[in-house]
Amino acid sequence: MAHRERADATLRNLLAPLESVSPLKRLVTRRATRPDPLAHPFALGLTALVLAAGAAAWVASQRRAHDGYGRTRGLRVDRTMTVARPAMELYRVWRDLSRLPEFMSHLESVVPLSETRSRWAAHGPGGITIEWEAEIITDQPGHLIAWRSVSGDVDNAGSVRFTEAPGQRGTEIAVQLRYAPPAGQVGATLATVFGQGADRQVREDLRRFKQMMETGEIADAGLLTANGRRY
Amino acid sequence: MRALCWHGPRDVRSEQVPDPRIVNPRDAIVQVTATAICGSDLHLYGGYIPTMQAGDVLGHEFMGEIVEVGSGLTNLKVGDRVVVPFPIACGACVYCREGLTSLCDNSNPNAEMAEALYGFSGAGLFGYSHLYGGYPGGQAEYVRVPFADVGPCVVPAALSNEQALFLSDILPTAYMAAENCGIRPGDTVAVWGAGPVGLLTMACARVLGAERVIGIDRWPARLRLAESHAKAETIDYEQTPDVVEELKQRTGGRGPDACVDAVGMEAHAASLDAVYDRAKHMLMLASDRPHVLREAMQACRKGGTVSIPGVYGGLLDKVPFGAAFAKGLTLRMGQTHVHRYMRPLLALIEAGRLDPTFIITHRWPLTRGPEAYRLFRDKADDSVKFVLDPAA
Repeated sequence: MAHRERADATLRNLLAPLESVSPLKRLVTRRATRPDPLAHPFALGLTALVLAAGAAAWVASQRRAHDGYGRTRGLRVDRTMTVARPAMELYRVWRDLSRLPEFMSHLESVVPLSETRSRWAAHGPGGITIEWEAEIITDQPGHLIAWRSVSGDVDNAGSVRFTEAPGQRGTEIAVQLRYAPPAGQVGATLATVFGQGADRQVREDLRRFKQMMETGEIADAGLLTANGRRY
Repeated sequence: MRALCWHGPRDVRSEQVPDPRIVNPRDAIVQVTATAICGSDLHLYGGYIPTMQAGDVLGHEFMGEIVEVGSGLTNLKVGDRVVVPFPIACGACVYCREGLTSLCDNSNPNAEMAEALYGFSGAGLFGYSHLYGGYPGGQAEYVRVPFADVGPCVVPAALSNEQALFLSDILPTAYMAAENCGIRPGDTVAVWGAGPVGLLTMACARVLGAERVIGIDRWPARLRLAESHAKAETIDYEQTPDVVEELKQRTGGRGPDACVDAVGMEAHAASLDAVYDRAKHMLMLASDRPHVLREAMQACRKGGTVSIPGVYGGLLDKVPFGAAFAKGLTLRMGQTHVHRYMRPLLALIEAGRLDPTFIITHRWPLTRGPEAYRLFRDKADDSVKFVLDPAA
């Protein structure tokens, strides 16, 4: 019995320092209240904790521009991705603006109106369509495309730069987007919609672009549904 | 079709689900002729892998016959008998081109989740949670196989299903684990875990020239298989007060040249550190129980290698990193790059140099899958490896 008691005491001592990891506890608590695709009742123990840390890192990684008073003035997203294809090939697909909806899931369509002008339609909150017209302001084949909106629901601008990656690793793509939603209730809603997901959206768009360019396909688990159940 | 579906910890059901369909041009549909339950499926069964959803089709070790091909496939035709690697690899990204197919950049549709957890995402896997892509698995009558021009390997008519089936996972996994040991003449390799991967690792270590192989486990049937089929010496850790000391004494005081952790995140042991791990696990403060890894790092000789085919998922506590540093150990690990081992191993099987079928203890119909999971988890009925037949 003495041996058993000693073992229990040792175990208690070993566990004691863990009670002070309150930041970790906070993460777990915070996670539990956040609807997230990672949330699941069987995200057990540390697994929940690791996911929480990941989710927190993700939240922290979202960059927002503030006006100095804590209000969101607009939104800026910077993302890079390396694609194992030549820069000119990637440039050509991107420059054909009508192909952007193939990998940018929030876009409904992009219709070129002239060599530099185009009309964009995107999925907005509550099933509405957001539209704007854009013009290309810089076009350096194989290197850089930059554009900005000239009219429409969302004031926005963006650029995509193609740079050769070292050691034949392909091309580094650097995307920069800025959104400056209008004032008022609609603007606030749009800011929320774009702001919540913009960084993630761009990352997933770039990933789809990479998959499309490297493999000719976009990865899909092909899950089936029947009678409301997903398989 | 019929499939084994996950519904929660220790809840696997044999049910009717919709047949898979071609989604992308490089897809194929395989009618499964043999499928197996993997030791790593037990991590799902126990609920240790996050992002499983009720109804997910399990299984990543399978083979079968091509019944439908996508418009972009030219290398396979309907009727081909193939064995399919468990990682899904595109064949085009920088990792695939280097043969590191389990690190494929392009096959995980949920890469975002894996990046949040691990910094970067590896390949999508069949039937192994949404973190790894959410692809329906192979414990089913039919499976959709993406990038079928890269993964499936046609099986020569001379080989039986059972001879070829383990090329899908555990034989390449065992071979890579043994290869990662960097075996040189005279080397002793110690392998923790005499389950399917551990046993095959012992056999592969022999093929790669290990002088001695020492298997460590507590199940008599498994230790006997290690002795009879992998010519291993064995240690029953329940009868051995100090495994590290025992290994030192059996190797002239040097320690094993390479130590293989073929157990992973759910190690069982009676030692104090194992009690601590279990307690933390229950208190939800750690995900993995790295008892075997600790012992392997402690036992390994100076300058030796610790090879880790056992699966880990999250954070590990009280890992003797100081020992690893002080002894200049090499640590090698990761999901198996199955694609690059399939054909060379197929040749070894054809040449009669390797027979992985010795681990099979149970040949059951797929419909008895739920019971098979239970028995396998408990290692009951001297079970080592279940092979399930969807047609039976």
